[in-house]
Amino acid sequence: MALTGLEIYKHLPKTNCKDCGFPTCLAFAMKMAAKQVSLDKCPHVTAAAKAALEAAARPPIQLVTIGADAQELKIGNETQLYRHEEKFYRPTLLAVRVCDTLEPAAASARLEAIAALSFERVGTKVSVEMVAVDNASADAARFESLARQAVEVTGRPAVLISAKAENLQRAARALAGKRPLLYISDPQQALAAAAVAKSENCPLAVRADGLEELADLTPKIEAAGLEQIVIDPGVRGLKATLEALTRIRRAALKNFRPFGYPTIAFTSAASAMLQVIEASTYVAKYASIVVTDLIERWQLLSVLATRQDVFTDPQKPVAVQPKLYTVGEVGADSPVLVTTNFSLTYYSVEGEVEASRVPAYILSVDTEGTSVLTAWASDKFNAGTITKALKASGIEQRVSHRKLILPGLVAVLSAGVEDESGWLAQVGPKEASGIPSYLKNQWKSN
Amino acid sequence: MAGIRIRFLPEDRETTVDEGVTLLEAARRAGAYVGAICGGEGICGKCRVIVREGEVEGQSTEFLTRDEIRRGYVLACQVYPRSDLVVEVPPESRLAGYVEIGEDSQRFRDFSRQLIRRPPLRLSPLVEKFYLTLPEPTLDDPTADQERLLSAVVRKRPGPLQMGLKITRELPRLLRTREVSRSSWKWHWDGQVTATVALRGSVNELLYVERGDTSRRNFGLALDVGTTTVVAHLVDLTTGITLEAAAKYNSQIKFGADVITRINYARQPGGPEALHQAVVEDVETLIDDLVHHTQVGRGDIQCIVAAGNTSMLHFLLGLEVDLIRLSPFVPAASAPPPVRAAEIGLRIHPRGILYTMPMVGSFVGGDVTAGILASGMYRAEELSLLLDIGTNGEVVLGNKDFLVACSASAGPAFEGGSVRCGMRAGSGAIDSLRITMPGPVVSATTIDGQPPLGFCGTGLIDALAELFLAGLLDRSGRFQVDAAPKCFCFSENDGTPEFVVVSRGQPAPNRDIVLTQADVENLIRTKASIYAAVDSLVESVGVRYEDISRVYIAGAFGNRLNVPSCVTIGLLPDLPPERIHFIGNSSVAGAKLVMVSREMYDQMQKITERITYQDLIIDPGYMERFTSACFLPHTDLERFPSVAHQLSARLRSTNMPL
Amino acid sequence: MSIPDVKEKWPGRVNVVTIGATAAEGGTRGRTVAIGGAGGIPFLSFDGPMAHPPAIAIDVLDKQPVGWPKPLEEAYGDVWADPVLWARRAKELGADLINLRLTGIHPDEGDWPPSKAVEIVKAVLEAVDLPLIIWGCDVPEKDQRVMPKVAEAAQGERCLLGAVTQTEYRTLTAAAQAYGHKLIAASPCDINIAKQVNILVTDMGYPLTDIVIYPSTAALGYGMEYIYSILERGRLAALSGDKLMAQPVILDVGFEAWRVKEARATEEMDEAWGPLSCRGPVWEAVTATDLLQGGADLLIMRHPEAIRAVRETGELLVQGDGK
Repeated sequence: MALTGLEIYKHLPKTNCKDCGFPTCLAFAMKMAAKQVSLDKCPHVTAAAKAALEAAARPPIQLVTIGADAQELKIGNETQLYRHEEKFYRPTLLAVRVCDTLEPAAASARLEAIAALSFERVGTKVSVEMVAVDNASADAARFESLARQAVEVTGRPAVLISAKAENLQRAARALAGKRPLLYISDPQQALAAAAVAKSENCPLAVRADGLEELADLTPKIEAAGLEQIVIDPGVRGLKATLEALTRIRRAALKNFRPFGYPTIAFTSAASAMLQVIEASTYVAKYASIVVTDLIERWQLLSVLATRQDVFTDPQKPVAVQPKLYTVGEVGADSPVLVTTNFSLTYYSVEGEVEASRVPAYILSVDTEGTSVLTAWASDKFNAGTITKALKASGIEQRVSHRKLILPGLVAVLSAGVEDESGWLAQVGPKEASGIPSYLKNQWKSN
Repeated sequence: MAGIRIRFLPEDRETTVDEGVTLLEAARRAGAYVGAICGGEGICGKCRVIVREGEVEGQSTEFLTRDEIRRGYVLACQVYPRSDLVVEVPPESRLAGYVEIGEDSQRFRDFSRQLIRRPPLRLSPLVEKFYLTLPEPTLDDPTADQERLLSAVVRKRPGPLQMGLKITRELPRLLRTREVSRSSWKWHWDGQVTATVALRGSVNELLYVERGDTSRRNFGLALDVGTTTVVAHLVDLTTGITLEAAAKYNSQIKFGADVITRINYARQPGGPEALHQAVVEDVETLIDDLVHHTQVGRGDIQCIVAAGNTSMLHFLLGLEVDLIRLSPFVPAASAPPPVRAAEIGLRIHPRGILYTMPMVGSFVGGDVTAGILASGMYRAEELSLLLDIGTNGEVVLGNKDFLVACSASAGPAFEGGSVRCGMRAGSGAIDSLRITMPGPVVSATTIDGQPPLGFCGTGLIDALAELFLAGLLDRSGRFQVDAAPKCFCFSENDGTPEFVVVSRGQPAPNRDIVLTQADVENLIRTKASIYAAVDSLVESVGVRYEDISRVYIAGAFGNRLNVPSCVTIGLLPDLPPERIHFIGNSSVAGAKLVMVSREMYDQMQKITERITYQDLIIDPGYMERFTSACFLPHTDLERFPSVAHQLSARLRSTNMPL
Repeated sequence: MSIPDVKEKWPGRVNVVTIGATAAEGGTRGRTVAIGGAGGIPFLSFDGPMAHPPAIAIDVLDKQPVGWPKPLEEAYGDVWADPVLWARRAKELGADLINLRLTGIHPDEGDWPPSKAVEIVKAVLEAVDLPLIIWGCDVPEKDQRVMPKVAEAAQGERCLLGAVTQTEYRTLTAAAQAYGHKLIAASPCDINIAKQVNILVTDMGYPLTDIVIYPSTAALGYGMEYIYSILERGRLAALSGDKLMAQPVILDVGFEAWRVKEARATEEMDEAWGPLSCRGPVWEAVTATDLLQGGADLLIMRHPEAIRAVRETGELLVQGDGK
């Protein structure tokens, strides 16, 4: 369990020598407790203290690397059951499957489609990161050829799925240097596959027919000298997979070594809609990789959105993009409200403007996610920053008046803002709840 | 061009101004005090004055009711004179000149005497005077005057000693008398001098030498430069006894009630100078007062030890303040070296020294470090909590093993600012309140027993607690008008209810003294930020509330703090009352300790280096704790078993829902 | 090797709230709907007693909505001018409850008098025998005049009334109390405020066990994670025995999901994102199923395809599919 600041402090030299860059040992300990600094920054900690602290801090889930160079992907190193306790560190990777039983033309078309699976959402690029090549034919040559083609056409790291270790060997060798994830679906071949993984320097995903069997299998793989292991819960279907993934994560966090590895899950529902739901659920619930047959853009977009949402850092100051927003059908006479980019503030203002039914512009100024009063006190929200945001927003081309509305709490800024911007600065209500009344009764554009 | 003449009553100060000068500015020029927390921006509503004769013109304001406007009230910062004027400054806008802290300073004389009597504390003040009888030089012992003196001093006060040439020049004549006749000079040995020695960093400085025995005239000034009040205690350094205390409002208030507003003012041309001068003049005024009351001469005061928050100490020393409020919040100095007081313009002995209490960054000032020293928490086995309930709401948790501090920007509500009828802890301030049901019957006391003019912090805490226990406020702080309809009136502006504590005119004041719904929300937010800060520290360090053996409360918001009221509203954790100690102005107490003991001075440096500052802004849980604390006493009633008990007892007896 | 027992032992459970009353119970509903009851983390059979399956309420407005995107128009365009017809369609589509919104009483929307609202509520109750959720227009002065009358008109039917907030709770709580209805307590994605609203409401004497919590809702991709985490935290609190968080949860999935670009943008985004006819319903469905994993008991939804998928998912999760 995580140590508190005081518990960590007890192990430190307590000299306040500042060599770690912090003013006191307790400050360093509190930062360590918050996972913001690592123990190696302290040059004077004793070996005994180091052992004690490191034992408490060892990541319970192995870090596994797939792909190489610019395409390198990492999974593992998770420490939480619930994102709100800290955060989820490594977003689930998505892999779309192509089977080597497809006719070449169909296979090529499918690979082209996979290659195009990149999207832009809310100003960020998201994509499906991997391609899964399935040796459904059991034929080594077809497998190797498709593997090669898949990586070439999609430009993505691969998951190579086969029931035969020797087929994996051939395909892996063909992709030498690309570090694909090898997946052995037959538990009887797992050890052989481990040897292949070791010699080809690839990570290995294994499955067994139940969780107990899996717990027996992984120590053997580890004993064979392989650390980079990924585990498949072995079951299929939404409920069974959800439960298995949860069991594995809970056990891993209790330091049960056989389950201390990232997981891989497969969608299998009959309809596309249900597969989308499956994939999203696994993303939220402890799968490190999800392999799916979904291929349509509208299907994968929502899975990627789930991933974006679940893996955001709950501890970062909650900010919206600082820019000009509109609410309703705005026109040249619409009011312009100025606020910060702290999410809660912005959404309160937006909500109240909506409730007022008065179409309006909201200029969200970049205050690094801090609220009105905090930003004013630390000088991030001042005549200068407001004017700069105002001019950059293009609002002057969109409204015919030159009046802006400042939050009532920073009425002191009005004179400065008027001087710098040349606009008239009106003082709005101190609380967002006063906005509807203000806009309906006091706002006039002329 | 003939200017506009304005006369201010009741002080009868006059000034002549040109057009374009606000009435507030005119008052400043005339030397008539008019309160202005926001520095004249029209957003605090405290600069109310009454135009008795003449005309003014200006902006309308939501701070004045229609009735008041009819009676001639205006906000001085928003209006301009249009003709000659006679203006009356009503009592609530005036500042009494000196605040007699009275009981408070008495308690501190005792408190610091107690501290001096505790585990052996030898009196070894920062400035000492040694009466020396130096033996006459002989042929066997022709030691030079300077060396003779120095070795005598070093025997009294070991350690490296430095001195200036001036002393050496004067020395031979101080040690002897001289008879001059036409043909000869005759020198007679006297050898009786008093040497004044001050600690200056790691060496001692021989400040000056006087003929004869002046060793009894050794006094020091312990100074607390607070954001709102400046307090000075005059201490006899030969005995450690406090002779007299004096205090007054910080004149910087006219530039803004809070530190950020004043730092902003420092960006204007002439701003830094004005702010620095204001503090210096305040201290000078206090020195005048003390000197007048005690018959101690200015020249007898050898040193000043100043405590205060970081910004205040920067203003005092004339240091750059702007960076204190900008990330990463870096002061110009955390431990300014001792300086000649005269360099700052403070007129004690011309060679006298000004020492400052060390600070820890921008937020934990010399006032807090002084509080840590004065409470003794730094050397206790058990865990203590120090709460400074001022505008900055500093919290310190620790013991001899560790000290952590943080600062909650609580706001000035407990010091009277931002509350409609709030005022500083001065004459006429309601400082305690009781409500008994049924009725309700409201009884209150005021400072100095004067007719009530408004509430000070302790009065507000009581009001909130009593209203809550009487069922007139619900858990979220909303007025329950139906429970006592006769006690409420309704705001002209927005119709929200206001609880009337004292009605206008019986006797004074000239307006109803009320607590508005907005006041209650403000007070709840203020107390929540302090409680949340404590919560944050307790959690991040990893201790439990039950482990806290002592809670020290410091602050200048009244003389009688009712601890149970603080717990009822959820300002303080629900710990047994015997663990909670109200220590008033610990800032001055700490300054005094340091002044009378070199050991304490050293200790103070060491303590400061051990303090870990925790920035609440980076604590992701802080906002949640704050929201949780915005309930009376808290969303989680289990944290406050004694309050839960009181509430259910009341429910049983009155059948009134909570 | 035997794996460690990872079953959690929870001292608490989520309350069960029953909405609707049959003839035997004094109402006229065909059946009642029970929500809540979870004794563990959502849908894990090994953690504790399973909750009632998630219930789905279909959104019915008291007058024709404005600005609903094409897929919804295709589903309801022929009935949405008449709340009675709309409610019948909802029943056909398999709704467990009707979620009736009194938008026409809003001063800017129609400013209908209380009598009209009462008329509509009665008509819907008459037309369809499903349990009913009734929301005001969120303008306190109007709701204070309308909701008590509506509550009175629906007396005996054990409806779910929405919503009380930390600033406006007295009138609706009194109405729910007087006429035997359940109450929705709304809070802006904040656990402390959720508790505070519960405290204020129960201080008036209303039972904690008749409350349904509405922590607000955000669509997939537009802040859903805030709601997700509030749901998880709320569920953990309930399971740990905190009575102030033990209420079942209602989410307004349809309203939120269909506001966002992914569910509205047509031709200009079809190439990048796929056709709206598929995209829209999936957006609503995934918002719902993701949030179900956080812990929710009653979902207000709109699109028939999304509803079908969520229903199927709920059944799979509660009973298991053996696949």
